[in-house]
Amino acid sequence: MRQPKILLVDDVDYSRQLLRNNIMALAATKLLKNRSYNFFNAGTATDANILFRLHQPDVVFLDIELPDQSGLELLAQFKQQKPECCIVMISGASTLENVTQSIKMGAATFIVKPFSGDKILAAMRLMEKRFHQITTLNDS
Amino acid sequence: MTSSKQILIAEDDSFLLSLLELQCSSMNMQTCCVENGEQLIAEALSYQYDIILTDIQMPLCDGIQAMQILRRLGYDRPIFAMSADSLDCAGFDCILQKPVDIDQLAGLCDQTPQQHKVQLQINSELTDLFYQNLAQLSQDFTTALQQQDVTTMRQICHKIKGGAASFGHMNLSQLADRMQHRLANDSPDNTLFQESRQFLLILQQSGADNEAT
Repeated sequence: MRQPKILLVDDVDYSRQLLRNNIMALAATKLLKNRSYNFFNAGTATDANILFRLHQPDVVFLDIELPDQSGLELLAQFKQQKPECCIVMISGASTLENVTQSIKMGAATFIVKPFSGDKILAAMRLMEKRFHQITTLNDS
Repeated sequence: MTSSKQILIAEDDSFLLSLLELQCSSMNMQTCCVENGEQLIAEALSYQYDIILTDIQMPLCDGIQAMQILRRLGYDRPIFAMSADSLDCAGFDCILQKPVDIDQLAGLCDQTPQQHKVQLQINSELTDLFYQNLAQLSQDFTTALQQQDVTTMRQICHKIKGGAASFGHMNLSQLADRMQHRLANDSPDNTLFQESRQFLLILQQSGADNEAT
């Protein structure tokens, strides 16, 4: 089984690090099916675009509020390039508008900060389910 | 000892909401109350509740829409609906007839397993990164305040709100949330800048607390 590729997009360094550490901790304690992941980090939409094209990640954790472009615009671009990519939107505050927009544009789920272990686990389990469905389909 | 179950209650009738809150508290449950579907979605995505109990007819977004949005986002925990009319809608775990039979609700809550809580892992390297970021944001807020740049001040508050709570600064997170709303909605007058200066002092103190430990 190949390692899933995860792109973390957030302009705050420690948010990306926190996500990475906690996903790895969940994997180490066998709460996730996969034991390891390939991570890529972007602090801006520009970097995220480059890394997305280069690595074609399976999962993206995408902050809505980025310094150079809206995360929602980036979501649309990513889904256009790779429709099967699972995208988790992240925001400091959810509004009905940004949640429904995210769904319409193809986001798999939505996390409202502050992060918690439960929220990261719930998002990762959903991602795993989708990832395995996609890889099973591709393998058959 | 296990902690009590957490229930999120959505009801736009303030009397019924207070009554349900009281009844659920008497069942030894921790309650959070909201008054419309938009708040329900925000709260359900912000914290991991064991149970959601929602009215159907509510302003901004009704209970069915809110449930469908949450299910679409992969929310797989129990959602119970309350309705005065007969209702047949996939997605709810149970539909309770209004007025709610409290014994029926208590039975459902008893049957619902408490969710296993996963602790957030935060090591010293991560904590250092957080405080470095907080120091930088404190400097940026000082500059923005001097220039009366309300937009930048609001963006900084937004960042602090999202991060501080993960690192145990609940009070700072709540203050940043309130400051962010004030900066977004209120006119930039002396009162607002005075309040911003007070917020800056608390922000600087939060960073200084770390240096002292």
